[in-house]
Amino acid sequence: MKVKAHPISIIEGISKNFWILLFPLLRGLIAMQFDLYRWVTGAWVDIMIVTSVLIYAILRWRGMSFTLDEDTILVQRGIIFRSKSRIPVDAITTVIKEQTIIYNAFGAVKVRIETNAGSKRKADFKITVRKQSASTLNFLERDLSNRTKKSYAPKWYYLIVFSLISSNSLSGVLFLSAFISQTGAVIGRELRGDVITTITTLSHRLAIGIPPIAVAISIVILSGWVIAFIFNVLRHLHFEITRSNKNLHIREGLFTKRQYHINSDRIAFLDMRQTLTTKAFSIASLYVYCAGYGKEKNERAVLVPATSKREVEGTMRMLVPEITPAKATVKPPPRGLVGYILPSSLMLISITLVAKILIGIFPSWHQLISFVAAMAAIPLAWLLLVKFTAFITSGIGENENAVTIRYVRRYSFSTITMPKTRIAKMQITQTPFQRWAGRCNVVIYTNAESKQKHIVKQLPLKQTREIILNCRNYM
Amino acid sequence: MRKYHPARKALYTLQILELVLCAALGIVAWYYLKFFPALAWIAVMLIAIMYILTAIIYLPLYIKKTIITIAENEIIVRTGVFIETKSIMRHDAVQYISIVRTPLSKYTSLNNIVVNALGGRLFLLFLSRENAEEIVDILQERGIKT
Repeated sequence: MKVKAHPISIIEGISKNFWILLFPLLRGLIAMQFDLYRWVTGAWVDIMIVTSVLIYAILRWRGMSFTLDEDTILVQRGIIFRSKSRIPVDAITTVIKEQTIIYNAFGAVKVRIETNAGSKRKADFKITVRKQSASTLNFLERDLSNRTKKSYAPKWYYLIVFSLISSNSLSGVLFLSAFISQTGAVIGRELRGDVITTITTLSHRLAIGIPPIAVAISIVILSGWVIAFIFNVLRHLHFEITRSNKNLHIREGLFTKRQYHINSDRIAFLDMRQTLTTKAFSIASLYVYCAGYGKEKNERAVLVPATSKREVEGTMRMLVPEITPAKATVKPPPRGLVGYILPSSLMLISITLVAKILIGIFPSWHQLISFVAAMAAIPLAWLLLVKFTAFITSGIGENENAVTIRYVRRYSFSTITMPKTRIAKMQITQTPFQRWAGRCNVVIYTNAESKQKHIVKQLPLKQTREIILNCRNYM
Repeated sequence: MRKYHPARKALYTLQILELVLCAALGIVAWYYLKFFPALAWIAVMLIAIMYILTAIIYLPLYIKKTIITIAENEIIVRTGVFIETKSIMRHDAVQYISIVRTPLSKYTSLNNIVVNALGGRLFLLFLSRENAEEIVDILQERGIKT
């Protein structure tokens, strides 16, 4: 049965710049009091561009379809370069279905299908179809009617904690700047001017003891973070995960409803993450690495958003019993501490020295230099604390089926548990000092859609070699 | 073991397309530089040289040197004009295949196959329609898990 794309795909195929071209064009037509002749002769180039974009989007929609067999899905797309992809159902790792409020009103569902191959940035297959047609793409949902299924839904306050931890100021600031810029391009430049004036006025009012520019930057970053936090909360509300037979099914979202169906055999590894703050409160989040889940912008590959560490471990055993974590048997020895804390200590000392030198050269800028140096020193001091904690918690362990790696990546602590069969490569590296001291760094690469590497530092060489030899038979 | 080469028809198609493109570029260059005849001539000569180097020298060598081998357990692609590369992909690493056709591909032989596997892709370019369909059938039988 051949299924064609929903007509709403025409709008999807049109770039954002199209609207920036269209609205001023229409505004011109209104200003000319619908004098079509004058309008066409004056703006024929813009009209041609707009028409070409629209025709291209319609042709693109017409060329998109899929046909479902018992064991294959045949995907067809393209206008001039017609592509036919034959994807076996068994190769599918994740099926993602997304429905916004607008899509719901039009009876449309966005579907993405992922395999372990293809691009790590783009979906293997993406199509918007009618809701009835989307229900035919239920290869990984067939076992949902199975009685023996287990579910987990986190409490709402843990979702708030998760959104607090995972909100990124940068994404919020980018959204805000794009929104103001694009709205200004359509409505007029007054909006942009108003926003800048408001920030300037506010920063002058709040600049008590700190330069106004620093306050302005803080306002922008804080606003960005608040927007990102709100988006994250709305994204993850009503989060629920169900394990049935061999598949995991995740539902989330308030306004935009999302469903993720994951083939648990295709899971590359699980990642239990903590920051220093959440570690202090024994809170953790569990992420899953599986092709397709967590690929899109602002999408996080989360299995358990945030809860107590004990509950994360229990939920992990319930939802993914085939991947069991092992205790760390190989850990950095006491003398390995220097390797962990030396780089951040040196950076902290350098910041202080550079600030003192600059104050000596530019005494009138004392306040700004001190402020900038303090702002740079705070994250470095925090990093030093993180690295010290990493020294205590890092290590590797293995059991019959899996290997568990505990390490720190920037400011985040990860406990990676992966089946031994998913190890692509293991590498031991040694600096000359480590060679003398009998220590090493171990790098483990995982076999998935893209290569991921995990590095544990300052481990004793002999025990690390034993673990690598044990894992070799499964690779 | 079966060996395939890119089709000669694809070479002729690409040469004609490139001729059209270079001619268009030459006309545009001449039109905008007509008040500087020396510059106009230089631009046209450069475009002509670029055409000769790519369409007359590079493309025929590329077509001649490219060999696609479908072996018992793997796909081997040997290609390259100045730097030869040999890519080997095991059948059991293949996840799915895409075949990309252009209009009138039966006559132009611009049929391309993209083999998607764990961590990488292999491109089998400029095949005749018959060869492309044959390769897809063989790969489906051997490489793709069903």
